[in-house]
Amino acid sequence: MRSRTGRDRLRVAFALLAIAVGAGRASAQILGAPTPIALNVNQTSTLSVIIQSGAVQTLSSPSLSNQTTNFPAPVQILTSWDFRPNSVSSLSLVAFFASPATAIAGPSGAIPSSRVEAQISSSTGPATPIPTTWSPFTGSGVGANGVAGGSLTLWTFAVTGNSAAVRRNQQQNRMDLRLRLTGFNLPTGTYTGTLIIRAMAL
Amino acid sequence: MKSLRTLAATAALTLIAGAASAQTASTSVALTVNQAAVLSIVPSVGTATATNPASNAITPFSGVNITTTWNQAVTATTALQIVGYFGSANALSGTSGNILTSNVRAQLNAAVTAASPNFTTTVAGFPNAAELLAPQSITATPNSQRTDALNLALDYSSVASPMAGTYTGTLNLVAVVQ
Repeated sequence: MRSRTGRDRLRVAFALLAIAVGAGRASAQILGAPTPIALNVNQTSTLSVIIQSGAVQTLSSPSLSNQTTNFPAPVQILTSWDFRPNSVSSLSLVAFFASPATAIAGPSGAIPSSRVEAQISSSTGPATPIPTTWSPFTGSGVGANGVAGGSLTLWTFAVTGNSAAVRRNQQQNRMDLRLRLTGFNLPTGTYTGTLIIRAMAL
Repeated sequence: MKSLRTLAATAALTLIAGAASAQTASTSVALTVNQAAVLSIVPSVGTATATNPASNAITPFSGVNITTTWNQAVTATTALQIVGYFGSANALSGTSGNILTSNVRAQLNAAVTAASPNFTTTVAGFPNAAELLAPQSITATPNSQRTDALNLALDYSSVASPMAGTYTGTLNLVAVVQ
């Protein structure tokens, strides 16, 4: 009887040992050495100008000569930028005619850019608009942005420091246009022209 | 004469017998081979790059293949798992800010989708991790290797893209046998 009890105890002991060993294997975890992979994300600078409304302006009137006439609708301009750190120092928005002497041309002549005027009547954003009163397109722009004698600088903005508000922002402007033909006789005909609006970062 | 031949033959036999038993020496060399357990991951390239990730989109990093090699003592339940993890909740960082681990997703051998795991859980004790390969039995293949395409991507499905700049980070891969 005693020997049976001893064998039973031995069996129980082996069974417990087996369970313990099995449990140990189940929970054991072998880790390989960590292998690094370098991750890079390159987000390039962006700069865009879009005309939200007023991209096409048409004046139809029998009496444009010798007076000043507003174009029918304002031009809504949205300028957006996102510059990499320390990549630019200034930003400008310039409106200009490529050929100032023939800004708006027709079969019987042309209207020079000096006869076209603009003003910024509304502005939202970090830049301060420059032509807050009616101004002709007779300037030279900013650096390479614009054409001599046919430009109007709408605003400039200094991109200083690396703060998010400076490097990534947007500016919305409303630009009014008018034709100033006082002392100017415009022959009958259809005249067309293109006003270029360009943002440039330097 | 006959007895002389007999003597000579006897002498010859004696000499042969003497040569066969005269000089023997032997020693032994103990040979032991220890095959250490092997468990490693080797990537095909050391760097993966994503360029201009856009808002409301998933932008892949350049491709990486990973080769996992193992040589393990196994039981009936031994399994291999592959885990990727970052050192913090900021997966990548730069002068323009950080990219969170929640915006980085991974998928083995298939394109990353919005359903692919991102690195926001704890796996095998590693926080900011994603399980890249669920435990696979290696009971039948204790000494083997596998190569997988590790696809990584930035998920900006619901967030703005990061500011312009360069962001860098390190993804750690680890093989786990249990």
